Amino acid sequence: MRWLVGASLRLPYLVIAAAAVLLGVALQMLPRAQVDVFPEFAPPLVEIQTECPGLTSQQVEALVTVPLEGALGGLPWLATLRSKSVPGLSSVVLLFRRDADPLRARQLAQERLAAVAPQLPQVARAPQMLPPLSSTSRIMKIGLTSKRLSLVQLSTLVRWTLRPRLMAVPGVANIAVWGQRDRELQVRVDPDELRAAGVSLDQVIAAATDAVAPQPGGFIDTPNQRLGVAHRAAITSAAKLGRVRVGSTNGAPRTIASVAAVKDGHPPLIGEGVINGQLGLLLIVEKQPWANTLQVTRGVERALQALAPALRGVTVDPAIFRPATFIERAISNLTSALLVGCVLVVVVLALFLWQWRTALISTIAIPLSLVGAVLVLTAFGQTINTMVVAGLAIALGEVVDDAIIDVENIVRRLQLERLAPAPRSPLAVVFSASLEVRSAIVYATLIVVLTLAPVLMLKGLSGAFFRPLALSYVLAVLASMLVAMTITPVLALLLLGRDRAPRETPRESPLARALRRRYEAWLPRLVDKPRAVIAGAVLLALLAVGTLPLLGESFLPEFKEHDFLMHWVAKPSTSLPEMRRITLRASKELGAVPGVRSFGAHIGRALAADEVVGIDFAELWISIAEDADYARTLQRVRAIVEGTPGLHRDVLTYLRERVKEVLTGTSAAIVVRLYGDELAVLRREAQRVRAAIASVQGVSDLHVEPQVLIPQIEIEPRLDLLAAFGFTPGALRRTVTTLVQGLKVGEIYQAQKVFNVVVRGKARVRASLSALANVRLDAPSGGQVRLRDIASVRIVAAPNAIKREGASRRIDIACNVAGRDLGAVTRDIAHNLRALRFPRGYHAELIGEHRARQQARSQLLWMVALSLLGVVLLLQAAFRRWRPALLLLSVLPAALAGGVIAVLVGGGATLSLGALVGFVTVLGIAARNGIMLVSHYQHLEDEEGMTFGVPLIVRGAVERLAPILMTALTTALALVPLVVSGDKPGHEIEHPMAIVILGGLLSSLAMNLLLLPLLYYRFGRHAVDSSAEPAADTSPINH
Amino acid sequence: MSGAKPTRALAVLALLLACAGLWHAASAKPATVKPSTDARINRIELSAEAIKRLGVALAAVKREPVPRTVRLAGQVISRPGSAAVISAPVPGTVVAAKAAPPLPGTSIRRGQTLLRLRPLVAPGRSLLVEARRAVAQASAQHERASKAAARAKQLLEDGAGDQAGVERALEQLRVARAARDAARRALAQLRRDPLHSDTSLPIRAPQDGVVLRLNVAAGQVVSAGQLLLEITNLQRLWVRVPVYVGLLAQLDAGAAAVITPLGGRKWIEANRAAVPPVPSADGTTAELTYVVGVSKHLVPGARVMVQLALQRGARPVLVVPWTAVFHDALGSAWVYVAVGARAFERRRVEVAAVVGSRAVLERGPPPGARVVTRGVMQLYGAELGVGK
Repeated sequence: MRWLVGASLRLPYLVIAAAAVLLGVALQMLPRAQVDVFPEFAPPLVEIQTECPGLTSQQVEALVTVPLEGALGGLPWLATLRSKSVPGLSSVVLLFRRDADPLRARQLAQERLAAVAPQLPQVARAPQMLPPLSSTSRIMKIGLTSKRLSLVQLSTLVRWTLRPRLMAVPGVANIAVWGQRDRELQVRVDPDELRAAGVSLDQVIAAATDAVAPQPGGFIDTPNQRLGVAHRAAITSAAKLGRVRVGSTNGAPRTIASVAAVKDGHPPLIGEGVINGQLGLLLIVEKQPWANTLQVTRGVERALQALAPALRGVTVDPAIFRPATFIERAISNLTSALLVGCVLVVVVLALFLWQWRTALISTIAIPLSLVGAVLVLTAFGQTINTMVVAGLAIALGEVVDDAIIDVENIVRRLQLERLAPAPRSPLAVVFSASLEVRSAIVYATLIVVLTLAPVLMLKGLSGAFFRPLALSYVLAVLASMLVAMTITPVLALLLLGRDRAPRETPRESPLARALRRRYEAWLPRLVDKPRAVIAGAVLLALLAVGTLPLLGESFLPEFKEHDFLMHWVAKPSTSLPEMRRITLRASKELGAVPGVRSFGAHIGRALAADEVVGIDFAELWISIAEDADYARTLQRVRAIVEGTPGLHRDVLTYLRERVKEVLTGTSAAIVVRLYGDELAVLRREAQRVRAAIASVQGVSDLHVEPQVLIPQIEIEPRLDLLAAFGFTPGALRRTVTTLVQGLKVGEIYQAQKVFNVVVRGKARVRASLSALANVRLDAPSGGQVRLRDIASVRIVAAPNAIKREGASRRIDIACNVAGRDLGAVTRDIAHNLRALRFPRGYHAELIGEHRARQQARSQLLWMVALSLLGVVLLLQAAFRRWRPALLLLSVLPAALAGGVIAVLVGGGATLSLGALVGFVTVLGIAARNGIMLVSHYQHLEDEEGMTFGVPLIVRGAVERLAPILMTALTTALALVPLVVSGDKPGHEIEHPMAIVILGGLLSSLAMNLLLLPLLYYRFGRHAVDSSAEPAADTSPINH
Repeated sequence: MSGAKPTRALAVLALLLACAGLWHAASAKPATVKPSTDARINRIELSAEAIKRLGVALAAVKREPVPRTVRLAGQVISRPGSAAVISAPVPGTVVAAKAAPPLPGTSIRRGQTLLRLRPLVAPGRSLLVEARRAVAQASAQHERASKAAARAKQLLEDGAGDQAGVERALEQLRVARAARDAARRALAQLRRDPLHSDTSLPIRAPQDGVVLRLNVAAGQVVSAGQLLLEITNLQRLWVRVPVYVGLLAQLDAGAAAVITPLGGRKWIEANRAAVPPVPSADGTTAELTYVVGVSKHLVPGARVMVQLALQRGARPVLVVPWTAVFHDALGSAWVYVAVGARAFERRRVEVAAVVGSRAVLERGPPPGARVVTRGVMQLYGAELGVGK
């Protein structure tokens, strides 16, 4: 370290050039940094979706999900295998270990998928691996509505024009379209009418298939040329398809149109979009993990603008959800706060030091430290997100502190040197002055880093969130330490060392002089009455510790995003028209709230999208205008949402929602997870397990996970009757499926667009259970027979969605523990479980989630204890004596007391993440000033030979007064804009931190200026007195 | 000792940090839903605001007849006796009238010339002899008449005859002259163009109707008695519907049937014809007959859907809007009945059938009870929990 300072001073211009290069590189790199809202908090995951139109959740599970799980299980790095089967869709999610390489994991998953895909039954479409998405994947929602175009026309425009263009924007991973109605030609049949016409369903299917089947034409060779032959597609519209022959009556051709309705239509909807009070299409843009949110957003917006001429008659609302706005605002709010803070710092420096050059040095040193930290972060591939920026902002206090302490000491030493009879060279003075504060800077920095070390060790989700913050903080502080030992001395040498004009008296600012005189008068009086001060300090510390339990906790701050989402989940089995009705009502009511700018909702799901749900699930998204009263608007929105009964609903920001989705798992203390195949058996066995556990003493809140059942129409053919009528089970299924769901028979092509042709039953066939049961089918053996006569058609209970974990169905029996040790209860439960006999294929497991969490927590506590030990060792290393180290350690809680009180008064009585880091900052500042003061006392006593007593205490304290006040004041002022501007977007973390630091600064000032001198006077002397002989012996070693 | 306090503070700090991993799912209970204080279950009470927000709508349970129908296939036939068959009276060649012969389906009026027939006559001596004989006969008659006229005039001049006798004689003379001239003209025509000696024979429509079948084309030679065309009276057509014998007893005999042409949307009401059901050969079905009026879409031979009313549709039954009914997971059907201003009770119903937008109930709340027709699923969710 000594070498570093010396080397820098010897090569001043090299250091400055290096700094300039650093700044230049930073200017080049920063605009290209990956800016994102939040760090990647989800572990690498791969999702595989398989569309199975028309299948129920049970069929999806049995036919698709289970084979996929079987193939994908046991992949390297696989941590959890989850799956969800909903009507018409299977989703298998592979969660990998956090350290896994997402792309390699995808590759391995893809290999397995390629092997299993051909073995899936025909009813399933090809499994699709979703593109890699970032954890906050959605970056934009675009609502499309039109008064002139039908929704089918709008869908055609989106599918063939808009979406391909937007997908081409770099960084866009996927665009899911809710409410998309792909145009298709439908041949709608009624079995009764077909019979009347003497045409069978198979004939209609065959005729439609034949009409649209493409065929190559071949070519002919003339003597000179080869001429290709092409079949021009005859069927281009519903009317033309209607003219195709399907059979004949007495030799006269019968057309399809004469036996069925041939219409333009769309397939049964799996989802729906509601935009600003009307039906429309909702496009959700999803981002690749490595893309820059701002750039992708702007790219999409540019593409939309370029496409505007092609979208005449279409109303485009691109701002239903736009997190980029939040990033832009957060960054601009933060930069302006930082700028104002920096200006104030310069003003304070000028006032105290009465020299513009010193101010200049600090203003160069501060940004250099921050930029250095950012460069290191980007070099390690970290995205620049809210957490990182917050870390930097929080580090500002320390960085300012580093810059000032050094400069102030150099200035003071230079001034003293000029008064000396034989002034040393400026280089020597700057060198020794820098080394003098070196220990304070280094040790205080190390203490801060040690305090934050447990945060760096956090695992899981909280780790993913807080590590970037702690990392950027630590990096900024380390960079600032480096700057304080290289650039600052060099600049001081160049700017201040040349000022050789001899002066009669050291130049001192009027402000500093006035404060110094007052303090000089006060301190001796206090030293006389130590008990009152100590009692006051202890009281304060106790008060602070006592208040801690009163404070609420809210770790992740409520980010003031202007986009909200509301889950809007109706009773499972609710129909699409009903969802549409209730969502449109909500849209109109929410849209009428002043301040709500736009509304977009998606019901159900879209193809290859991030929602694996049924049609009863909707999400409402609103965006609040920037100038609206945030709190009041939100309150009214909440009132409306909460006042709508009969739906599961909540108001969240997107981040909260994502976090909740990543965090699955129960919060109960003990979970017994029962695995098995049959849901009914699982439920029955779960009740047995419940009964077995209920007797254990200390178990409370015992409950079996409820499973949602929905009515489902089940058609079970009666085989003997089928045979009598000449049906095969397959033929019956095909017929019913064609009538209910539709059967794709081919495609038509129009100007590069492809539209399906389907045969489907008329609406009246599907109108009700009785309509379906009474459908008359043509029996192959002649005549007609009602469906209910050859099959039982009934409603049965079916699971709404089947979730599996670890490739097995499961049911959880959960309980909490009250009045008894968790371990003992767990042991008893395990014992009771062992006594249970389960049917073959079923077993129960005691999930140790709670224990794992406890282990993690105790591990963290150990980390904290270790870091505390490290702090003590560091203090001892700084002073090379135990007593002052412990002395300083004992006064630190008193320094933090102000912060606690500030939280209570101004921070909403909530301990947030920012507040915690604020405490760490206060700790750092207090420790640094304490180290400086104590080491200055040691310096006076050992180097300058002052005897221990009140004069030594007073002189040491008075000489440290200016730097202590200065650092306190500059730090405070740098944070003032953050406090004054209030809880604005972008300040969610910094605002509570600023409050804590402001409060903590007051108490740490009192601690450093009043309590520490006094305690040092009392206990420092005791140290000398009680161990006079050993102290005398060791003192030479210390020098 | 002195290290204890910071330890505690830092421990608390660390604990709080550790808690960051735990999330407290805020379970805010909506204030708008009151759990039922009533002892009865299946009851839900909402605030007035919530009712308005959900757009809850009510409708009364009614007891009214609901037409119950069965859709069967039928065929349009022409009414027996309404068809007229026109055959060639003489052998000849079909000649187009003004235009081509009318195509099947063309409407025609009584007396309208449908086509013309040029009789085929073999030109021969006999015809010429006959013509000469006719001329000779007419000449002889003329001669006799002129002599009789001269004698009558003489008698009048002599005072023996009367004026009336003269006039009678002159009249006979004129007739005889005309007959002689005609016979001479016919003979002249026969000599000049023996084949087209006569104009063609018009075939006229005997009644209003529609051409059902056209068997000849212009230029075709037909023999005497050959079927030329068939026309039918379209004022009335019949629709024949084969019905399973077992179904016959359930049909409402007096009710009108609704006829829909295949592939069409138009429907026509038809009454039973005064014809008894015609049983099929094997006796399993019987054909019912309905009478329909003239229509562009209904032509004999066309296949149609026939919707027949069932007897039970005439009886008043318990009816609620289909929108009021929902099923639970076990298949039971329920409705919500309004009890009091803001309270609703879930009641079991049994749906017999769904007819259009109405559900016919076997069992359900009494007529006059008000059931919820909009917002049913929300009430259900509010009562039992959504259970995401």
